[in-house]
Amino acid sequence: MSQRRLGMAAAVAALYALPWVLDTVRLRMAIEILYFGLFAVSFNLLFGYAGLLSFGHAATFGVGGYTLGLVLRHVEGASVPLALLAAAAAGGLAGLVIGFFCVRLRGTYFALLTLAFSQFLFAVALKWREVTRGDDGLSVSVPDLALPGGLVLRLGQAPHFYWLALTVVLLALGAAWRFTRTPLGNAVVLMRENDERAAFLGYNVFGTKLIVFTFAAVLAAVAGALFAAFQRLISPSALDLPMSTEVVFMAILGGTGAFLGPFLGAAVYMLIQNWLSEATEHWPFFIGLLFVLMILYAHQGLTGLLGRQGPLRRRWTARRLPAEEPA
Amino acid sequence: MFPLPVYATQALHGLVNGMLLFLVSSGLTLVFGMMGILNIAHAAFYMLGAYLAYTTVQVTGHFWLSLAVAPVVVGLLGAAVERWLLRRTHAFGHAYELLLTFGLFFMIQEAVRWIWGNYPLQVPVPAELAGSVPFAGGRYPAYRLFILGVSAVICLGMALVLLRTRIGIIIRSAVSDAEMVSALGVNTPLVSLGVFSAGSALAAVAGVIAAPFLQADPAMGAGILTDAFVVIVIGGFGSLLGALLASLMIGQLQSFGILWFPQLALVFQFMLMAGVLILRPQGLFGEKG
Repeated sequence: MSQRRLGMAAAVAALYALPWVLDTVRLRMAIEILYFGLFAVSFNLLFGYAGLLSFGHAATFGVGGYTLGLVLRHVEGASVPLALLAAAAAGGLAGLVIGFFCVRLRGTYFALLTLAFSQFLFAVALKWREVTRGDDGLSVSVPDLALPGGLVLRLGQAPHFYWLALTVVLLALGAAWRFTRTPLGNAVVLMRENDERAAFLGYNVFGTKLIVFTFAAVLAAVAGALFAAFQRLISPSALDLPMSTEVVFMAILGGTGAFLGPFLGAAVYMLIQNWLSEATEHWPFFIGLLFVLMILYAHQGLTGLLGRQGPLRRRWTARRLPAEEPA
Repeated sequence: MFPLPVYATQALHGLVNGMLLFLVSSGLTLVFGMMGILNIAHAAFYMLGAYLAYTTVQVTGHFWLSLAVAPVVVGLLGAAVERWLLRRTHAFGHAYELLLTFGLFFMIQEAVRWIWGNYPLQVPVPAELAGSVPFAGGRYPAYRLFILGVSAVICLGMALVLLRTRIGIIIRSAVSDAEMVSALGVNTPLVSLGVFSAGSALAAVAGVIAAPFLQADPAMGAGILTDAFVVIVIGGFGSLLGALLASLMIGQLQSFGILWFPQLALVFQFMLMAGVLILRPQGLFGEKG
């Protein structure tokens, strides 16, 4: 175990050292992988753990982004951590409201209702021009961040932003990892397997799923806030269907049976997309083809291909999902 | 606020749009009711229908021929998807079937852009229907009335097949208990294949009919997708009658919504859906989800 800790510490240190190794273009890619990875992991808390396929996960991603943008724009002297906290809170609130209506439903019903909520928010962002600036999007100016000890993170520079994003994402992933190991996190897996049985055993199915939904929303909002801060722009497209579906691609690609599978999927997806979009303007066709092939031949994703049998709580290796059972 | 004929025209407009929406969602509902699969590729089949109409008109000069070509091509495509892709995914559960059709949606949509280009293509209104007819003191394009008529005929035809024929009985009973039906000696995989193929063909018909009205547009698939989803949520999953009512409601809502609250035009259907779900979570005619 201590060896494992040591290994993790070394890995984290290596991640913090990346800006000295990568050039700016690759470092920017790494930042994008960080927040999309967090986004994909939060999606998988719903899909992999709770068995809830969300088609509107961009809703809270966008809420986080807009909250960060609005706080930085309108609150005098707001710092980035404050704006990130506000984004997390707003995401949690949105998750609570949306989840209240959605988590009662299962399967396709759940997928459609989450989609509808995200489309609703998309329409609001598009039409409420006084606040969101509609189609043009809200430009976000990110102030420098003063750290204790006189250090200043100049967030306009890629390495500095990378360190901020890495810290936030590691904290969020740590929280999510802890969450999956709580009794509540286990109860969620039980409900995915059989929520009637869970209810008979005295679990509060609705409340538990609502908590998970809200927690996933908080994480997605943090990811969205990082996205907005990095892009320096948040527009309705952050709430739109392609954003919701991209995260599904990432999670499936990496594997939904392992905690960090979706993170791996996000990284691979970004690299593939980057490479494909240079090779052909019709890259969505090949992404779709890859997705179809993955589902037909490797629906466990990359971690499923690599992984052995083991508990879902594992970080990297996947176990077989209950969806395996013939429906 | 507006003179009376404006209301009459808007109402007719809403009716035409509503029936077109029903034509798209009916196939979706049929497949969902029968197989439990929400076929996202349905929206891509609809789009493909419109583009096939464009090509048929370009090559042969006959619009009416495309009403035969598009459903056959897309119906065969649908059959292939069911037989070779969906059936293999079935064991992984409905979530993965949904995701598979989603990947197909992406592929077909991009393939259409690849083949026909990433811009709208005009499909001319057939000469027989190019004119307009007097309506409410003004004139109304004849082709839109044709959309209304075709949709109504298909709607009636579906009702007749489902309620009055042997195939309809088998389909309806397979919806409620597929295992029992197959125990009675019915080849249910074949029925699934047929229903999926027919649903796809219906999408293509809707696309053909829509083409002279809305053009063949690379964004039309994604555009109809959320509307059709809203329709089946409001109507109740798998209920054709519900889909009909919901389509008509959304048609009117959008038609009059644009008249009175143009800035909210995008969100009406979602507000209606939220309202229905709060009062009646299973939709208007749905069974408990």
